[in-house]
Amino acid sequence: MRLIIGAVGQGKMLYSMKAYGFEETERASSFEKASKAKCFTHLESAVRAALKEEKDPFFLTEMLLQNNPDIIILCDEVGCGVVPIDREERRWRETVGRLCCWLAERAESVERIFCGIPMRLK
Amino acid sequence: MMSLISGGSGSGKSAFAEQCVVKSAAAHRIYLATMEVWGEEDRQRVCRHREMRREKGFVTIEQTKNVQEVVFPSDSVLLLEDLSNLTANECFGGAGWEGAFERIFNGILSLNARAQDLVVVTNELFSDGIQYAEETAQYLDLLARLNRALAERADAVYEVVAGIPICWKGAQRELF
Repeated sequence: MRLIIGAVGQGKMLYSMKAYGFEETERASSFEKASKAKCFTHLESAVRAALKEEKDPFFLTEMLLQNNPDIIILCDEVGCGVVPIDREERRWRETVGRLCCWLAERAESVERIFCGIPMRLK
Repeated sequence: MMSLISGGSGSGKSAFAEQCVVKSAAAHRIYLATMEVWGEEDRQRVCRHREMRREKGFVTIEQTKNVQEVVFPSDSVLLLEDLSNLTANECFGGAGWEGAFERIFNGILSLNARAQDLVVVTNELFSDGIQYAEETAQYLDLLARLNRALAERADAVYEVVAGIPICWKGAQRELF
């Protein structure tokens, strides 16, 4: 598994398609569909959906990695703002951050994209 | 040579950008101020900054939109501060959203083609996790696209964090 992070709009998708040679049709943006995809985009949105359905994103991610150990996971960095007043928003933001830490520990590589430019962190 | 410098609020990106300008060999230092001045507080702020930069040998030109109209000697180094302001002025107050990307991008390329060196300051507004209303989201998307397009053209790209420049592109890193 590879993890690619970066702020919104930095070009993570374009970069990873070019760097790892897959097509737009080979990506998914939900835990269910990601088990058969080359690339899982917008992990942060999938986490939001999972939390809403009272599902554990860590468990879903672990299942995903068992089924699809070579997946490329893309996630927006969402933790650099004022702490949200809304409890669910706070929970979402923190879960995304912690899940990225968890993934980064297990990833073969971690890259951060800034203005379309990659930096290898691991 | 074109440099793109980004960073959050209070990151020290402006001070670093000024350092880049001072290191340029160009004869004239031109500060291209894009902020719209509203009210007395803004005016005083602008005056103070203008005075500080004058000591460093800058000439200040205020241009809140249509930066391609700015005229300057070819042996100049330009500091454009900043892209997030310029983009907001163009979209919310200027010719509007239609063709905004090309208008702003081409304006900056025009400056780069005519100047000896160009330093563009932009802003990191993209990792707060907030889902904004449509117009703000559209603005953020446009600014992110401009940042990427300029980064591709730039010779050097820096992200400034706590006053420390992180070099994302370019071989100038050892200079700082």
